[in-house]
Amino acid sequence: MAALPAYRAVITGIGCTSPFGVGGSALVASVLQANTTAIRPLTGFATDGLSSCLGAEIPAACLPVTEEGRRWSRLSQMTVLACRQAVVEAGLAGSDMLRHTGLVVGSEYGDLRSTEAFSLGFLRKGPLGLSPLLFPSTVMNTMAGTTSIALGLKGPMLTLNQPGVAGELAIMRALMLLHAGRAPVVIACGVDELFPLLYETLVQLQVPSPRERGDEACRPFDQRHNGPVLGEGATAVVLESPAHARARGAPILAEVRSLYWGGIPTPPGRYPALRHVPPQLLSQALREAGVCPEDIGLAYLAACGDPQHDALELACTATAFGSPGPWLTSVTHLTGDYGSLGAFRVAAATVTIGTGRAPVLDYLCQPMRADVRFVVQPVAPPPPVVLVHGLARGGMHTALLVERPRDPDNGVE
Amino acid sequence: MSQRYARHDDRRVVVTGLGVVSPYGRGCAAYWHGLSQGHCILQPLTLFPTEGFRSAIGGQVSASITRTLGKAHRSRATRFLLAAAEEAVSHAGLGAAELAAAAVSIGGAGGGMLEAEAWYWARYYQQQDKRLLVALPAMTPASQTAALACQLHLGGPRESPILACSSSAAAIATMADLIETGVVEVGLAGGVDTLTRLCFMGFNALKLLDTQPCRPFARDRRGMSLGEGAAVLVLESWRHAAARGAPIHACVAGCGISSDAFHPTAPPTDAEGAVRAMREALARAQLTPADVAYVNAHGTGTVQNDGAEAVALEAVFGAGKVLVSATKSLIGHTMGAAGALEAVATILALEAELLPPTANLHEPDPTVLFDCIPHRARPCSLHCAMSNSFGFGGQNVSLIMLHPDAVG
Repeated sequence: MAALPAYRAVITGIGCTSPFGVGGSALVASVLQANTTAIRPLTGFATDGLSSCLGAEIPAACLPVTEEGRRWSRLSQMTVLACRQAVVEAGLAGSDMLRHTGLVVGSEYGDLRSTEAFSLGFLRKGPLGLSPLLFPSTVMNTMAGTTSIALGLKGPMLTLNQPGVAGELAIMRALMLLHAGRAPVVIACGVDELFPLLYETLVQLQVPSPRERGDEACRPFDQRHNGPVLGEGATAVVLESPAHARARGAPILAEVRSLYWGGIPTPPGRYPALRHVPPQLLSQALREAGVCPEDIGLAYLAACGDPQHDALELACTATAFGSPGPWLTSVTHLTGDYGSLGAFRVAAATVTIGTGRAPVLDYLCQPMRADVRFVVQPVAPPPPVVLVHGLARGGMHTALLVERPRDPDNGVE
Repeated sequence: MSQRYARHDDRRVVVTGLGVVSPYGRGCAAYWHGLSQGHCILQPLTLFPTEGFRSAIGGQVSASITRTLGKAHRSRATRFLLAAAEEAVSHAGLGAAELAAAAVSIGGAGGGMLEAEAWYWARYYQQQDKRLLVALPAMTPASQTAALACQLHLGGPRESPILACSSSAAAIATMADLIETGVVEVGLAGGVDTLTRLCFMGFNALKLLDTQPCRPFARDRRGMSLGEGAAVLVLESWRHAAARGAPIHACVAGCGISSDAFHPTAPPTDAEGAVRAMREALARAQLTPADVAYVNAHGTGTVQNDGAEAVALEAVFGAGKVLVSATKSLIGHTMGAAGALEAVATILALEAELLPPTANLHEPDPTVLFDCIPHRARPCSLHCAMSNSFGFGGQNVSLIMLHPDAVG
């Protein structure tokens, strides 16, 4: 199901609240350049007695307690900081344009921290223990609502709940809002956080590494992979039409278009079986988009480190591109995995087409497949077209193309 | 009616199937019978304990109905949603090939929270039962959407918009965009929410629940009543529906989406965000306010919400220029499902030429300058109606529906 492949928007700003700090495209570039992981033993909460203890968490110092921030939940604070940074980078800070700007937030779990705090109030003290201030944060649109108030965004505002590819979906829906003429500028943001109850429960469900198989580590596409290591973050990108961006003199970092948005019918919580994934799915989407597989120099894969997921992703890309295909990379070994990480992948792809920097999969000792090319040393020259691929539990499947901005005199908008 | 309103392009969006689970029971027929009779079904809740809370009533789907809805191991929300979707798909006569390419967008707020709460409550009291862990993958609203896609083999784009109480109205609006822009020909859009302890406790904590059945637009209104249910609409491009000879119930003529950027739970007194949503819907439908005969209001029964909505309606339509009713007075506020349930009510009203009433409206608020159709349904020949949904976070969605005869 190709989704608007002919419609191109441009990315004019990036903002991140991440384990590496709060920043814009320069921060993302430094993360890719350093290729140093943020995964380490968790310190934000105790993991005693659990079979997993690793994660990539945002240092408390990145979320300063400000007057306005005191009213926000941690997750909302992450979202506001990322969106605000993206707005600054896009040259929209203080602009009247914000009153017409839309916002799409993608998240897998929303604000479970506030949900638990609210529920505990009742369990400990009965009805009198319930905080009316906490209740609005239990609804998953709280991050978007808070951000719209903080930044004065009055355009269409959507929150999309989705495991695995919430960040990609936020960007795809933002592209749709632009194309449908619902807003001249849309901010797309993916956000999820580490939270003790969720972490503990996922460990009980044997979701993260090590799953009683070897040592705990994040090693997508390596035969030693044994599950994801969890992370957290918020990444926002500012999207607008090329003409709109040029008219207001905005910095154009990359073009982005939606290549594929479909679902493989699969029970919730499970990955589709390989036999249920149509083999020509990505190839057909590329054809419909008028893109030669050879044009794609590099692909950012979701690469969560789950053995079944890794095998599925490699099968999809190998079928679409043949051997050896584009260079394959991911950010998960740096950032940890969370449901809305796709927005960070798009930000990373944006930096890659500009600088040639891409994460090096330096942990890769025993690759799962020999017929594909993994990025194991810096890529040069910068690839003009980068694929951002996503595949989620429940069968959601996405692909976005991030491309070098076209010359307005020669390109087609 | 304005001569400009009727779009005749092939990509205009029509409704070809409807499905509902409501406190009245399973199916559109039961839903419309209850609404058109003005039967207020708000009564004491039995789904979970309510002792110690201000309000103890709501619109609950009875156990006898729930038992008929699919497999018991599924979450309550999933069972509601699948039943509503199966009815809608059956009405629309969609085949396997159409379903394989169909998109799906299901709005909600609570997802499978009812079952997740049971797990969390047990965990808190150290009665941890590992079997309850299965509730967690079904906890988020996206899991209901995935279960629906899996059950009906839907292979197109999929999303789960969460806009609090305007979630499913947004699902309809964004699905209409997917169809109008040519991404898909067919999509299922709707919403589901069940009563949960969390929601019940939250609105009690906010002191927004009436102890009596809610009284939208009444002078003595004291708050809302909660409800639960699901509604699914099959949306198609007119070209696709006409080619396969599908029944056309209505046309989704225009949708407006806006945000207030004002307050986490309260609307601005001038309701300018709601005004923008309604005006955007009208503009996209190429209609004028005079074309709209009826508004199915968000109408929760809270002092602030109803007051702001009345201000917005006056700004858009002029005082008394449109008939208004609030079907939440009959079944309660079904949260994320409300927008879809009310869109279905609006379509059924267009088809039957009968406007559902506002229950419990004994003494209208004199500052609400509209006929809010108290107590009894009212016959009315109409071609165009609006459905409003507003949510926490300042999320406004307005939908405009046309009678199929007006579509051309």
